[in-house]
Amino acid sequence: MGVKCGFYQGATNCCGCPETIAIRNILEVAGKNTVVVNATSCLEIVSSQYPHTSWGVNYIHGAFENASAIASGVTLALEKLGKKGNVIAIAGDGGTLDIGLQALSGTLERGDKICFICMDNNAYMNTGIQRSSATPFGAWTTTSPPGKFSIGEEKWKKPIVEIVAAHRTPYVATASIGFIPDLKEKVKKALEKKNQPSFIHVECPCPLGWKFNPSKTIEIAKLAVKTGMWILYEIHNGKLNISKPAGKRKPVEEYLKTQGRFAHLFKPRNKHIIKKIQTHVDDEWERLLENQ
Amino acid sequence: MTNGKDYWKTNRRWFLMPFKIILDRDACIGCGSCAAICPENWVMEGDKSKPKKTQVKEIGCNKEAADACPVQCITIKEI
Repeated sequence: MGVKCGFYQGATNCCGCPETIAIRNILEVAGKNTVVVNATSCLEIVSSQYPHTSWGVNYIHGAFENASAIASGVTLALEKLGKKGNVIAIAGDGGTLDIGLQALSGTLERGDKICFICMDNNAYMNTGIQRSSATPFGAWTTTSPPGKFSIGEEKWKKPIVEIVAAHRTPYVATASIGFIPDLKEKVKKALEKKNQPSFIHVECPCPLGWKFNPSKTIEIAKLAVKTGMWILYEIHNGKLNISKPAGKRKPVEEYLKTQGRFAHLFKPRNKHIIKKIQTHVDDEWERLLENQ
Repeated sequence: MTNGKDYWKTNRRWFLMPFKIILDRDACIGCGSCAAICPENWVMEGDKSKPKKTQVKEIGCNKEAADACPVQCITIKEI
């Protein structure tokens, strides 16, 4: 691959996985002068299998919970050495929303200059699709199986973007793999912040865990944004700005029926769940519009 | 239609460059996979990618670029 790439070929990810596309585009914006701190996640498994590596930039892999704490340390070390560079911490949804939340909160409170990127694939995919707090309502996972007395996952997704924004973080944004120019622009804005942290939440559809055809990854990522299941917005110095979807949203059925993990919702006894999801999406959309 | 010699003359390009590269620009999301894998023939032009040559003698890395495209908007035709 090209010299300007921070991420090289040979990663062992599944067919149809969008994570490496996201990483390559993020590193294209960040440039060679970057330190990547990676929590345990799918990305770490696929990109750094001993003795090979896909990374063309400095790379540290820590434990599951402390990616942001290590990134804090790297920032301070760079400062002491008198060097300049971008520090990017990358973690999955488990490493951000569940296990890494306390370290992330600490980093945001101290206000170290790091860019934290959460690659959200909605469950613990590399250990066998267990539910996490990012799993959407009604989804199938191995630890939330649907059946006679269950509808799948019974809790709503944790509003991590608002939790981070509540720390008075100057730049918080959501992005999607279906809209690469938008993602690149947001990373650029996040890295421009001087001596302040920033946070980007990227949604990455997982063909294995969401049960869809690997060729449909980008299509599903785009559909999630078009139906309003994933709203693209940014909170820049406390000001909320919705980037997509502009105009009329599609009904959520169109998004739900593309994936095997929501297949049980289309049985006659579960029809009311889809209505519940649609109401939730509408409420969320209206709430964001009010805060704009 | 034409005799052998003229046919060669009028359709020379076909014989010399038998592979045609077609890009569906509307489907392209601008991820840059093709430009990263095959910089000889693919460049990023703003938000979308663009082939430098649309007709080539040998496929070369264009095949890999087409395989790597996440939205399958690159097609290679043999004429």
